[in-house]
Amino acid sequence: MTPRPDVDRTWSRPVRSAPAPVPVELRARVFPATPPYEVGEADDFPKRVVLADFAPGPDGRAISGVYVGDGPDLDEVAGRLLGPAAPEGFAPPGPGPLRDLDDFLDRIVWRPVHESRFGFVAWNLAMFFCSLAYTFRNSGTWAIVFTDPNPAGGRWVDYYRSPIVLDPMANGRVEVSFGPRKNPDPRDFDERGRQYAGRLATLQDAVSALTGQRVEDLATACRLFDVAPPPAGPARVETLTERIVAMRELYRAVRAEAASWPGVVLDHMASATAIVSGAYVAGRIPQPLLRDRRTMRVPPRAIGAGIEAASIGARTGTLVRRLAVPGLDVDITACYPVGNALAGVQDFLTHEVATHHVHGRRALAELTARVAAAVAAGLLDHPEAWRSLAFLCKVRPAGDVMTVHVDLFGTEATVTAPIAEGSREFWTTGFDLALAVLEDLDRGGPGSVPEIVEAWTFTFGRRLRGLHPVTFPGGWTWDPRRASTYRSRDGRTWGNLYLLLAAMRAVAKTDPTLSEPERIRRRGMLKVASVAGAFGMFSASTPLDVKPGTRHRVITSDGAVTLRHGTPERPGPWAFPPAAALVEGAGRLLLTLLVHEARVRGGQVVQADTDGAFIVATADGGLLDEEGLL
Amino acid sequence: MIAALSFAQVQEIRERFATLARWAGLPITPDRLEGGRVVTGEGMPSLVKFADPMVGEDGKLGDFLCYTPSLRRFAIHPDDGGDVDGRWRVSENTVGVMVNPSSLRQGDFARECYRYLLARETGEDFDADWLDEPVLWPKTLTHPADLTAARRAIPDLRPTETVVYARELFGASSYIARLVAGASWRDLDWRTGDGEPVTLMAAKDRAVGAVRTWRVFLNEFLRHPVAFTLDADDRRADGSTRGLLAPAPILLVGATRTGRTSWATGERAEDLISDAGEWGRVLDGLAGVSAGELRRAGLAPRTVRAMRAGRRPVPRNAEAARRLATTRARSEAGLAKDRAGRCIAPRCDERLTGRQRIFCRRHASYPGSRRKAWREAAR
Repeated sequence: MTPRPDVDRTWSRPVRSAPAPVPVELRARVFPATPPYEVGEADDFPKRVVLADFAPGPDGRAISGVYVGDGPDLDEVAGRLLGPAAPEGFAPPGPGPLRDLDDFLDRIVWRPVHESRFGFVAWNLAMFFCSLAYTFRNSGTWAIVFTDPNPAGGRWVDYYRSPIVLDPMANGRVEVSFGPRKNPDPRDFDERGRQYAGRLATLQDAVSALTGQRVEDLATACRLFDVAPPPAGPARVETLTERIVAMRELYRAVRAEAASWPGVVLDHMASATAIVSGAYVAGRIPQPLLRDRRTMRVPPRAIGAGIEAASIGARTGTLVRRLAVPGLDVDITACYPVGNALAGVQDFLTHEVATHHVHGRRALAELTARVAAAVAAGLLDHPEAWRSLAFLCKVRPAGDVMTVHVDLFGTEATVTAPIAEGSREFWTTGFDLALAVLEDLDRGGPGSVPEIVEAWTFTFGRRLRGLHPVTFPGGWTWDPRRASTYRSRDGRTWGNLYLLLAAMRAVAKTDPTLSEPERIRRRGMLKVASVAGAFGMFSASTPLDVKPGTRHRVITSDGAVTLRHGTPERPGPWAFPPAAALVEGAGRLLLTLLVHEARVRGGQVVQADTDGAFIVATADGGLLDEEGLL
Repeated sequence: MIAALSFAQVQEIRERFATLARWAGLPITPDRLEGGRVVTGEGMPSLVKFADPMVGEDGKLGDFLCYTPSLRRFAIHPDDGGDVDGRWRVSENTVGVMVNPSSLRQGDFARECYRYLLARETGEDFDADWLDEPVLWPKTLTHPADLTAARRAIPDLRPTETVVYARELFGASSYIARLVAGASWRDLDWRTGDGEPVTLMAAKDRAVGAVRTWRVFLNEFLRHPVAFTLDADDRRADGSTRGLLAPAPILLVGATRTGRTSWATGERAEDLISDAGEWGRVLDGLAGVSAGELRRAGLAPRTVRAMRAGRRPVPRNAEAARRLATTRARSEAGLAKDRAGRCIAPRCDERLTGRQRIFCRRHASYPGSRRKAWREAAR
């Protein structure tokens, strides 16, 4: 602020040294105490496929639809269907025979797709079946499409044929499968006793996964895959023929691209994480939470401490508000993949892991000294020092600046702020202790390390047996048998998966062999895959669709607890919360180092978020008067 | 005053990250700065890169300004603000989830929103038709709970259909309509939450019974505070604060354990293990509240005394007590507008109570000359 010349500022000297702290509540996650689903190699998507599309009426019911076949003997198959909202005597334009709804469902959906195990593809399967459904059961999660006419009026539900099960996912997608039916055929059951769920693929999900962005429109998707697009906008009766032709071309392009990634199958592409999951499966990486105690000695309390530390979130901050400030916006390249590599997190997947509970005074002092030494050595000059900070710790703050996720009566925020003495203890990472040291130095302090009251450290034993190298498109290879710092001379074989994906993305930017749509797809997909693989998949969990009030167990940093309320969850297949906590901590430290470097030069940051910051700067530097900034 | 680094110093910062770039081995193009121009292919690769749109096609570092009304909402734009076609980078936070009321592409529409905000800040004129259109929030009904709630208003809704909500200007109620592709909001069949037909009115010429417009919605951006921060005078930052902010010290007084956050829908994580001391903090928050304020909140002072003495409250009183404690705590933290006002003495954050108008009890006892100086400084 500019001093007012007419006021004697000596009178306005500080009355109090520091404002009173805001009393807030810590918000931290718990983790489900159930094992994750086992992930295995999925069978290829069937070669014989039926593709269908529909035009909806204003009430969401289909007016008409169109279908085509693809694969051996099916290239010539095509036809039209009348939806439940079709007017009497309506004959929509298009190729092939015109079928009424029952005929279409019986001859095109049930017999080939359920009985003969063909694949079925629509732009959005859930919308397709919902537009055809006679009614819905089970709170709208079962679409009843197979019915028979009731002579007394209305229709009977055909329980001998499956309902279409709609399984809403947390990311807004809906997974679609055949549900259970009366008197199932013995061959419907798999080895686990589950009825055949069908091979049904939503093209929109596959396109979104392969481009790393939610694609809402078929025309946009076609352009991204270099396919002649149909008219833009929602499907209409008169555009259905063009749409189904474009859709078949798009399906072929998407299928070919999905098959080029190891372990990826068209109907298992929830998001770009399918690329990472496929690589793990192809590399024979065992799922961390399903490993035995011989190779993974991590007690539940360490998992609980990990999820508590992993729920802190990324560092963000707004430090200049409502002024238009000149400067430069800078980003940290591949922040989370690099953070993952610096913390050595991939070793959790490829090595035997042992955990050590540290609570003795001397051992905790050793950890404190480790942090001080790493910061003193220079974290930007000594990448090898980062591994010494890869531990989880419970701290007792006393004015230290740390990042925490807090709540004040409904207002939640991840804040990096001084945490007053007398605060409750909380779990964080060694990287955050280094962050506190840097912040203390920036405030003119001696660089104190916050007090550690308890910690979990990790040691890695032998490399797991049976790991395989994995080849990606473009001649790139991930070799999990190598050290995670390994990189071949030609730069194509990497020991670290996440850095490999980040490198592939960087090269795709200028690769002359890629067409423009290919470049956009690959860079978008690799961005999501590298971040999700490096961090998100380690803390993922999915809500379970069970009756309210079902008992479920969760892991906290103090052990497992049984709850009778709340939504039960199941861990993601590759979840391992301590790894997520360490990656996120390393990411916060990278951003803090960037802010610190600006501050030591006397600079100021306008805003910082996760992996980048806007630094106040002009060509020649100097002081800016706030009055003139807007 | 705000200290600005020179471009050369920012380049120095980038070069400090060269060792990490070498260690990571990522194929990063080396560059160096030469007279305000980034020369690629020479110098050293750095892990820190200039984000778009900082560097022009000729390698020249542009003159850009960053405007940030609140957390994760920003516009980085050319110094020549009138250059609409110039390279803008705009956050789509909150704006992007709403139905785009214009014919512009989503990114361009977000830029127009920030141009409106910048015009408001400088007092310039900015007008666009969409400013008086209602803000519509689309929701695709995939979850059973959402479907059940929406079917109360529109019984024949099917799963996977999309509805739009418009929020009333005053109050928390919303109107709902089935989204029909290509149809204007005026042609949609609007219902109240209970299914009563209603004619939607945008809050242009009238406020009562009208729904929030883009103008009202964007104006809220300017009033939305950055939570848990202090202004340059070490006071709690609130919606009106402008300029430098610093994080406010916090005191962790409890912990709630939650389930997962649904990032896709932005839903708050479900509370699974509540903090045992939460009720105690509510009671502490009621300490010192005047009898009048308690009564206005629907609590008899006698009831509060009994609750503080350990009596178990009836649900209605417990809810009223929580609401009052929440309001007070939020205004204490600068998250909500505090009608009570605060002491104007520098670095004093004391809330004014009773008949206090300018100074708290402590600073009211300071010499008159000093209070006069404080009053002048605060003017």
